[in-house]
Amino acid sequence: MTTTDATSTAPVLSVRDLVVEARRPDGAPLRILDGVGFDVAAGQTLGVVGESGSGKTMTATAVLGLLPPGVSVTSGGIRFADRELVGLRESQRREFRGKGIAMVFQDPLAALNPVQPVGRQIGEIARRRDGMSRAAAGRLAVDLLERVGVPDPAGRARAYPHQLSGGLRQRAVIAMALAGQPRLILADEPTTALDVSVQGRILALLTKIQAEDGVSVLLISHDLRVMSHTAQHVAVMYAGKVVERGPTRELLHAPRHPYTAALVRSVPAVHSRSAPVAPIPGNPPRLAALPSGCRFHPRCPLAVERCRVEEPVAREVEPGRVAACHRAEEVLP
Amino acid sequence: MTEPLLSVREVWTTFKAPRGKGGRRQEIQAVAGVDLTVAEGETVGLVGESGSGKSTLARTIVGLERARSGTVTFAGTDVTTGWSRRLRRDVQMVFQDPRSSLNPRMTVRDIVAEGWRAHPGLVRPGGHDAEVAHLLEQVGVDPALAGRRPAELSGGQCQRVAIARALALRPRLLVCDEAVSALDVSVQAQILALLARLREELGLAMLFISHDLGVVRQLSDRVAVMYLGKIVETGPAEQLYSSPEHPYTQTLLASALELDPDATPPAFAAEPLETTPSRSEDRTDAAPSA
Repeated sequence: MTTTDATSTAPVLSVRDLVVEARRPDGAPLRILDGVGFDVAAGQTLGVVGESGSGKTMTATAVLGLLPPGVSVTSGGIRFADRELVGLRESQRREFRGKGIAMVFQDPLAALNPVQPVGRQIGEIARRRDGMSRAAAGRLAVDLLERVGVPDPAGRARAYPHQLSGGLRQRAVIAMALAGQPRLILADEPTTALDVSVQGRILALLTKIQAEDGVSVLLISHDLRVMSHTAQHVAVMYAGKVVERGPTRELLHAPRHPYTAALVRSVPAVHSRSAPVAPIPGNPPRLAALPSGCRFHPRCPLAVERCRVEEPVAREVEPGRVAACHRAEEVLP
Repeated sequence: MTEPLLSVREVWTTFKAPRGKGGRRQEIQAVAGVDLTVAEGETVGLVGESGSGKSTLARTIVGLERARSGTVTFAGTDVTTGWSRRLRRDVQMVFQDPRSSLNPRMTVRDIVAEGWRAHPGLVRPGGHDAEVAHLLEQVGVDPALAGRRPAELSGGQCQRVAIARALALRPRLLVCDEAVSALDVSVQAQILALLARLREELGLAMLFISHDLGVVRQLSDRVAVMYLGKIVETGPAEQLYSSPEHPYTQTLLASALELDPDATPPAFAAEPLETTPSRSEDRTDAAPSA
């Protein structure tokens, strides 16, 4: 089953039935991700959207092999460029991080070394990649800063992170990601900490890089607005599961899971006089106390007895569209 | 029209920057000559990016910062240099992060009732528990949670408790500083609906501060746009959103992301340069880069 019917090539990243568990103090396992699956097609962006606690960041962390101590993949697989990542040793992992898979996080200050000029940090990645000389790495850093739209790139290469605005810092981080010539950029809330007027430009930059370099992007965000402008495909996560996935446009026009539909309705409109947002009642469940049956049923307007007792299995509801809902065919946009 | 409930006239709030080159301390004008009014029962949205001075303006209004010049008038009384205890009650604030604005060691009951210690006439001594229960019900929190502490509640529930605490003093003006920004989308929609309902029920006036243009449009009768310490445009919400006049408002609206199912990625024109100056960027640009 694939969500990328448009491309016949193998996906760059394929996550299959991924289960991630944490050990609780009493020894019992706590399931954080429960059967997560999706593909990131070559040269495309897959958006993973969900609220806090849905498992979207844990999914990214698992892909990077950076799960916190006490948390581990207990079953399922993560294939990247025809290599299975689950079960690799840390030393084998390291060759993927930064090179095959590059990262762009929410807070660029946390990703940058505060006591080193940004140009040095960008060049360092390239030096580690193919051992180029310091001078060549310095020139490459300036080129990359120019490519990501930093004005006065030669001057800015000598700047320290604190001397740059939030938008420029995030551009420097993206330049750093590019220095590794990755096949996949993993971007976790890359615009959430930025001002409104800068957000769009950073997303445009990621889109441009993707188009020019054919790099794939796994974009993680709580914001459906970001997805609608950036991702070709979206996976919606709720309480540790992917509840719906499919092409962005169809998914937003005609959601097949009540949670997706509710998320769409809770986004306030900027450019039109819209009806008041329609809140989803209740709160997302705690993983330690999941409801029976479908995890969304206590908040779902369509819930019936079956939803309370039987957990829905993800199924293809129409070509390229997967939803985990007993009543997927009855969801109204 | 009668005199507005809140009136801000030519207010300047400045800070001294850390000692820079040559030992001179630069003055930062966080709020640079702002005029703003909020009428009884009116909701005014204040939008702007980080560093625009919107939070400093809010803090100056409620007296958490001192204005260097200008006047703040509330219900006909000059409160620029301080609020009387009686008037203080009439303005309450809701902050962005409910976890840091609620005392983690206090129970929900004590958090909501705390203000009554300073205003003992408000609720009769034996009626505290009943009034707390009433307030919690009003904001959609199960009164059975009154004995819990903030850590045992979700982010949305904490923000509801923060709103109940503000309402406990029966204010006439609620100042909300990014009150829904830290919440998940579905919970954010709940709090927006709650604020809209309370405003109707209680006839509250609101100064609603947010960087999110969509959120502001949901609630506001009028909107003021702040940029680098000044209000560059103000007007009725519908008018400002449909025909913005100031170039900055136009830029801000043009760059606001909308949920658009028909956007075909990539939906942005290639615009490679950061052109909007921020304050930190101004300083970087001012420094010689060679």
